[in-house]
Amino acid sequence: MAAAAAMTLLAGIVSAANVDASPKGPAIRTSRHVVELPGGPTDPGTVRLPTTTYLPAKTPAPAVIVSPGFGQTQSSVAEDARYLARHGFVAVTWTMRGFQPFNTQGGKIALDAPDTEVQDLRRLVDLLAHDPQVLQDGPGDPRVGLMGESYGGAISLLGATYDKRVDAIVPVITWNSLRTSLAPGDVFKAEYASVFFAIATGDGCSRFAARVCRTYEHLAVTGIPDTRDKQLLDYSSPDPQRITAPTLLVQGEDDTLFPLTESLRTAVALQRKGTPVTLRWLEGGHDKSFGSATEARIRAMAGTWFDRYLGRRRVSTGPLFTWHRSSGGDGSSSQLPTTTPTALHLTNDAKTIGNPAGGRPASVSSLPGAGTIGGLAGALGFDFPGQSASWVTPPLRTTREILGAGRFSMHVSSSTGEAVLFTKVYDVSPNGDATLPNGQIAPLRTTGGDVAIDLPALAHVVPAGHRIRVVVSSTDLGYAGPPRPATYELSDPALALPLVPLAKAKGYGGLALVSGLIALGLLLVGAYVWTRRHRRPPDLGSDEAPPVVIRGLAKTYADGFRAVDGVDLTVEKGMLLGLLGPNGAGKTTTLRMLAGLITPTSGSVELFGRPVTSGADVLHRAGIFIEGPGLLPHLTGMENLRLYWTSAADSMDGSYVDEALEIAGLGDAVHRPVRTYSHGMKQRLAIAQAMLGQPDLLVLDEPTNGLDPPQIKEIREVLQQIADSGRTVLVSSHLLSEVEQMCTHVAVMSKGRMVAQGPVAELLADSDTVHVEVDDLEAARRVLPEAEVEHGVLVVHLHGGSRTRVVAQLVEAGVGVEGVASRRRLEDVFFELTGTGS
Amino acid sequence: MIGVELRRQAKRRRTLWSFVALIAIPTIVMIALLTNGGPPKEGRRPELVDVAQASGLNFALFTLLATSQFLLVVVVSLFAGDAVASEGQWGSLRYLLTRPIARFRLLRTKLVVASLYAVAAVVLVPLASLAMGTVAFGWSAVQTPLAGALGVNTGLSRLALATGYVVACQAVVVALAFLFSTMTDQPLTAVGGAAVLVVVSEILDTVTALGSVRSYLPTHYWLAWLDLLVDPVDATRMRNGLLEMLPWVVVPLALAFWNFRRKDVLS
Repeated sequence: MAAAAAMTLLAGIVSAANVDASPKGPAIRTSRHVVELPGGPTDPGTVRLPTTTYLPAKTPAPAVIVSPGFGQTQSSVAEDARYLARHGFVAVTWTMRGFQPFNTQGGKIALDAPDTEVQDLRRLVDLLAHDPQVLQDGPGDPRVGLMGESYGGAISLLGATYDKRVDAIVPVITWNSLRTSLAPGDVFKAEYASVFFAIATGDGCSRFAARVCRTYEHLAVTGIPDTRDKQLLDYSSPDPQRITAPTLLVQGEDDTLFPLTESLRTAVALQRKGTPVTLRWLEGGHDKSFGSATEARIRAMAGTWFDRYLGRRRVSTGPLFTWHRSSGGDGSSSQLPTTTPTALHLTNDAKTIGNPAGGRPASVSSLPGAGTIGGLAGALGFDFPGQSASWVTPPLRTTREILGAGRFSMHVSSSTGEAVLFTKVYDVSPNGDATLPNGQIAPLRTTGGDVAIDLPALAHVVPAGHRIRVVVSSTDLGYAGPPRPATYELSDPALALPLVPLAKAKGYGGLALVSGLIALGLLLVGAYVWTRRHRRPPDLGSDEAPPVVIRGLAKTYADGFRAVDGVDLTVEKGMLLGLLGPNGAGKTTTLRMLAGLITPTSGSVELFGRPVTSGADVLHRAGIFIEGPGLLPHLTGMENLRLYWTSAADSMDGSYVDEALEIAGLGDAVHRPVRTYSHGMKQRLAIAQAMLGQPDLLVLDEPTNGLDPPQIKEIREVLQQIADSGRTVLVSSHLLSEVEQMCTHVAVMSKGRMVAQGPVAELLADSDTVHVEVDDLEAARRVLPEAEVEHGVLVVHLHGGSRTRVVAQLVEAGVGVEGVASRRRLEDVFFELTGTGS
Repeated sequence: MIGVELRRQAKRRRTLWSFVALIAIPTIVMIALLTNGGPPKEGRRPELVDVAQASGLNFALFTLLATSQFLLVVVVSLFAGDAVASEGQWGSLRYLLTRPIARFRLLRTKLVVASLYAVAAVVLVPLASLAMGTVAFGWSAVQTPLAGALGVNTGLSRLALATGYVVACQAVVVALAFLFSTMTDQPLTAVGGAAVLVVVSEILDTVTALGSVRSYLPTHYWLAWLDLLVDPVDATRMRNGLLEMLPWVVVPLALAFWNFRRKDVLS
C-alpha cells in the first residue's frame, strides 16, 4: 500500500513534449516531468524532482539515467543525455535532492544515502519499468544503465549496490568510501569539504539534511571523525561486493578529492567478485577540469560500454586498464595496477619536526580546483623547515613508472601522545626540481608507535637519474590538523612503491626500422652480387655442325590438334632456305620450337650442334623474327633496339647497331616513339632488331609482310648478301614468287609434315610440265590436244615423256617453236606438292 | 638486367599517372577534411578519422588507413599484373624469351622491378601525406583515437612500422597479380583479377558465419597495424598476420615461376 502510494509518482506531471534542436545532429524529442517522491527520513512529506527524458530515434530502447554532479541541476548533463539519445538510448536526467535553488519542495541533500537519494533513483527505475519506450528485461525490470560524475557517479554505484535491476554503470571520478575520501587517516579534508559545503549552502546548513549538518559541523570543529560521523560516511559508500552490473570506472589523475585509490579499490573488489570491470585513468579530475576533448572521449567510452552491456552488441570495450602516462601517451594493460610494491632504500636518519600552534603556517600540496601546485612545493619551500622531515632514495638507474599504491612506514613518537602527519612522495630531478606526482598526500592520525601508511595510488613516470623524496610534514593547508603545538620524532622510515619498467616505446620502433632497412639492404646487395657472379662462358655450339638440324619434330596441343607431325629438316651453312606451306601447315609452330618458345612433344631441334631450350646459350648466334614485330610502343625505335640487345649483353659493343639501323632505313624516325610508326616501319625495325649482332643464323617468319615492293627488293638483297657472306638464313613466306627469286633452297610443309625439300632449281627442274612458246597456238593444240594454254603459252604435261619429243612433234607439224621453258613456277610445284589449288 | 627492366617500365604513361594519383588522393582527402571536418561526430566511437587533423603524423596514418584497403591494392595490382601480360600484349614477350637468358632470370627480374614499383607506391602515400599534413596541421604528437597521445619520435617510428606492415600486406597482391600476369596476354585481366580477389576476400571477411576460417583469408589481418597506436604495442595480431600472409605470397609466386618455365609462348 505504501508502495502504491509511493507510486503516485505522476501526481503532478507537467509534460511538455518539445523538440530539442541541438545544432550537432538530428532533433531529439524530449519530455519533462516533475516526479513526486516520498521524502523519507530527512524530508517530511514528498519531494518533487524535475526530470527530462531524451528519446532516441528507435524505441523501445535501453535506458540510461544520467545523474549530475554535486550542486548541479539536470541541465549540466544535458549534453551527455543528448549524446546517449543519439546513440540509441532513452536518456533520463534528473536534478537530485537539495540542488534546486529557490525550491523548498526540492528536498535536502543527504549525500547519496541509501534511504533517500538511492530510493529516489529506484523510483525512477520503477518509472522506466512502466514506460513502453524502454526495453524491458522482464516485468518491472527495465534494461537500464546509470552514469554520472562525482556525486552522480556515486549514486550510480550506490544504485547498482541496492537495485539489482541495474544492468550497467559508468561512474566517473567518484568515491569508493566517503570516509577515506573526506577523512583519510581520520584527518578531515577540511578545505575540499568546505568548498563543497559552500557550493550548496547560501545560509548555513539549511540545504543539507539534519544529520549531514551535524556531521559536517562536528568535523569542521574537531577535525576528527567520531563513530557517528564514520557511520554516516560509510552509509553513503557503495559496496562493490554487492554490485553485479558491469562497471566502467573512470578516475582522474589530477584529483585529490577522490584520488585514484578510490577507483582502484572499487575495481579490485569488483574483479574479485567476477563482475566485468574496466578502469580508465585520465588526465584531469576535481583539481583540473576535463577539457572538452576528454569529455567527449568519456561520453564515447560510456556509449560503447552501454552498447555492449545494454544494447548487447558485440563491440570491444578495450583493455581492462588504461592510464594517462605522465611522460606522454597512454599505457594499457590487461591487469589492474596491483603490483606488489618494491622496497626502496632511504637515507635512514631520525628526524624531529614540530607542529606549529594553530596549525599555521601550513604546507601546501594542492588546492581544490586550482590544479596541482606541488611542482612548486619543493622549490619554493612550501614545506616549511622545522615542520617537515624528508628522506631520499638514491637515483634511479632506469626509468620507471609508479603505477598503483605504495606503502610507507616509520616510527613516530609525539610529545603530546597524538600526532597528525602528512606524507608526500616527491619526484626530484638531478638539478633539484621536485614534482608531487598527482598532487597526492597521505594524512595519518596516530597515537604513536610503528605506523604503516597506505600511500595514494599514483600514475607517474620517474625518469632515470631522478630520486624519490619522502616528506613527512605536520601540516597541510587542505586538512584540519591539531591546533596544539607538538613535537614529533620520526625514525626508521621504509618506503615501498609499485614500480614498473616503462615499455620501451621510443627505441622499439627505431631499432626495428633500422634492422629492417639493414636486412633489406643486405638482401638487395646479395641479389645484385648473385646476378653478377662469374658465369661460365656461354656454350655457343660448334661450327662443324649444321646451323639447324630438326629431327622427327612433333607437337600435339592439349586439345589433340597435331600441329607438327614428324618433321625432318637440315639447314646447311650459307643456305637461304625458304619454308613454304599453306596456312596451318605448321610452319610457325616449327619456327617457334626452333626458337625455344614452344616445347616439342617429341623430336629434337639442334642449332649448331646444341639442343635448343628456352634461353639456351646457342641462341646468341640466332636472330629471330616471328609473326610480326614486338616492340614497346612507349619507347623510341633506338631505345627498343638498345633494350633488346642489352637484355643479354652488357653494352652495345658487338651489336653492329649502325648496320642494323641502315637496314631498317628509318632515318630520324628512329628517335620517335614506336607507337607513331606505320606497320611497315615497325616491320623493318623488327627485322633490323633480329639482325643485331650479325647472327650466324637468321630466322624470319614472313619478313616482307606489309612492305612495299622497293622495300621487299631491299630486304631480298640484304638477305642474299647475308647468305653470300657465309651466314645462314631461314625464311618463311607466303609470297611464293619471292621465295622463288630469293632462296637457294626450299622446304615445303603441309598439314604438319614436310613434303619436299631441296634446292629451288632442282624442285623446279624436276617438273613434269613444259612451257612452249609457239607462233600458232591453234595448230599446236591440234598436235597436242591435251596441252593447255595459259597466258598465250602452251603448257604441256609430259607425264614422264621427254621434252625433246614434244618439240620435235611440234616442229614436224609445222608449228614454229619460239621458246621452250622447262622451269615452271614454284606456285605450281607448291600446289602440286601440297595438293591444294587447281 | 634490373636496370634494363626498370627502363622498360619507367617511361610508361601509366607509371607516371599512378604516382600522380597517389599524391592526388591525400590532397583530396585533406581538402575534404578541411572543409568538412570538425569535432568528432557523436554517437560513434572515436576513430582515426576524427583525429586526422591533429598533426601531420595523424594525417599520414589516416591516409594510410584510407588507401591501404583498395586504392593501393589497385595501384600495386597495376604494376604487378602488367609486368608480364603487357609484354604478351605488345608481342615483345616472345622476343625476350628468344634471347639467351634463362626464363627464370627474366621472370625474377620482372618480379623484382614490379615489386620495387609497388613498394615505392606504398611508401609514397604516407610520405606525401606526412609532408602535406605537416604543412597543414603541424608537426606534433600523434593523437590516438581512444585516449592520449604518442610523442613525435614514437609516432614517426610507428608510422614507419605501419608502412612496412602495409608493404607486407600488398606483397599478397603483388604475388596474385604477378601469377595472373604470367597466365594471360591481357594486362587488365591480370590487374582486375587480383583486385577482384582482394575485394572478395574482404567481403568474405565480414561474413561472421564463417567463423575462424576467416583468419585464413589473405586480407584478414590487413588492419592489424592499428595496434601500433596503443602503448605498449601488442604485436600478436601483426605477427599472426605476417605468418598467415606468407603462404599467400609464396604459393602464387611459386606457381607463377613453375608455370612460366614450362609454358608454350604463343603470344
